[in-house]
Amino acid sequence: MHPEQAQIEDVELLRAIKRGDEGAIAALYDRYRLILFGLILRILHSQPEAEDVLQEVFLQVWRRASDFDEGRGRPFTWLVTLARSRAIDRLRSLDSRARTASEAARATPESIVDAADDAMKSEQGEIVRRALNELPEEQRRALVLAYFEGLTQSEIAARLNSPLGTVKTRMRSGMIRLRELLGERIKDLL
Amino acid sequence: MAAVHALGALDPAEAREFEIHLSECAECRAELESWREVTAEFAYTAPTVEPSPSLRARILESVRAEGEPQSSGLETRVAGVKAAEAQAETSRVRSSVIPFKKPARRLTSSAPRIFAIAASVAFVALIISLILLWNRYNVMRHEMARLSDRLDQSQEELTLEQRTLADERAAKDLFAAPDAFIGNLSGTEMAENARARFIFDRKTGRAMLMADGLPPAPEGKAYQLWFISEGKPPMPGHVFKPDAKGHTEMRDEVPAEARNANTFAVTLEPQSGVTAPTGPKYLLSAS
Repeated sequence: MHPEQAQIEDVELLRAIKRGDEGAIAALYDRYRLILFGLILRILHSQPEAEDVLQEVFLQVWRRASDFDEGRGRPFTWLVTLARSRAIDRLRSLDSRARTASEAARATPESIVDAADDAMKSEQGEIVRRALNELPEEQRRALVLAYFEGLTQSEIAARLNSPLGTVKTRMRSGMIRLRELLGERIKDLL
Repeated sequence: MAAVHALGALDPAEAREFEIHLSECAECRAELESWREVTAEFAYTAPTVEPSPSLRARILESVRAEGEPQSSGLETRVAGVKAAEAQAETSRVRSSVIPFKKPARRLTSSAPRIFAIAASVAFVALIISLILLWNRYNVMRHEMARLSDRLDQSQEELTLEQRTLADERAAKDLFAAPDAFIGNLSGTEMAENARARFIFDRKTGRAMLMADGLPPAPEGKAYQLWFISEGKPPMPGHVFKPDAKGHTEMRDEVPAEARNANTFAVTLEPQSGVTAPTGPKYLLSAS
């Protein structure tokens, strides 16, 4: 599907959800469950926790569809932001020892490899992965630790054994560079 | 600032400050939104995964139980959950395109009433403890609701509500445990006004620490709980940071090899936690 087309349909779906249309939330789920579940699972590493959070996210979409402001961004961004923040909240509330264990069990957490061959995301995934891979390693690591593990700048500094100031600079530069790399594509979608 | 906030990576104090600024600055709000367009792209780098097929029905059920979308406060939501239960009970299927399965009852309501009565008599002590806890949670909840006014109110509340429920459940289980051990910790010369109570179930290892009066942990540091059995090195527990009022309520699990511990201590350590204590003791139980 054409991105613009998907975009228009997403906005329509959210309008319908606002009116209380249960079919619309089902359609939104069908459309985004794979990517949202993948994201939440990537953060939580637990199928039951991730399903619980995904349910929470859609319930929140149902309750708060009226908070979505069409003038301010893509529905996709709104959904992903909500899902990521819910997953991170859950991660923080989980047993910190279990968390340490799952972190230890995790192989190369910052490597951006994905064997999935899902048609819906492969193309966009490829673009984003390529952009991320263009960043210097230490910038990419800091951004990925923040996004997927919910670490703050101080925690990242401690984890990477780098001074806080350096981490702040890396993250800011990384984000600016990433926006340049992705900028054209995102502008197309807005 | 906005770029890092979109990643959720500002340290808590900075994040709070920035949120306050955001509430007054439309320009920064717009900038944050534009950065979110960038961070949302990270989602594409996670491998896509199919959730259980039953999840779709569960979500639609909970949405249906919810009724019309609304910007609901806590009370409306609690009422919504109750209404949902009532609705599930009578299983009214409203007209819709989505097939809807009657949810399975989780509790065995068919258990003979006599058992319920017997159980409630046996757990009078438990109920009293729970009422005390509930009062405390209600005070906390109220306070939190006031503070989160500027933020996304219902999001804050929902998280709190879940934690409270989990804590209540954990506390209830602990108090009900026949092998529960309850000990008091008092502050060392590092924090003379600090005190704590530690409860744990020797059988399952489930534990809870409630502490007051600890000074705020310095940047990069956190408190860590220790379980000490005679003649053995201390076993590490969780790290934690007290809230703004110096209060802590933390759940933990005592590892099997430390279940006969009779001394408990809290030290100040690097916030990622350590496997053997390195910092000064702040709290210590009378062994």
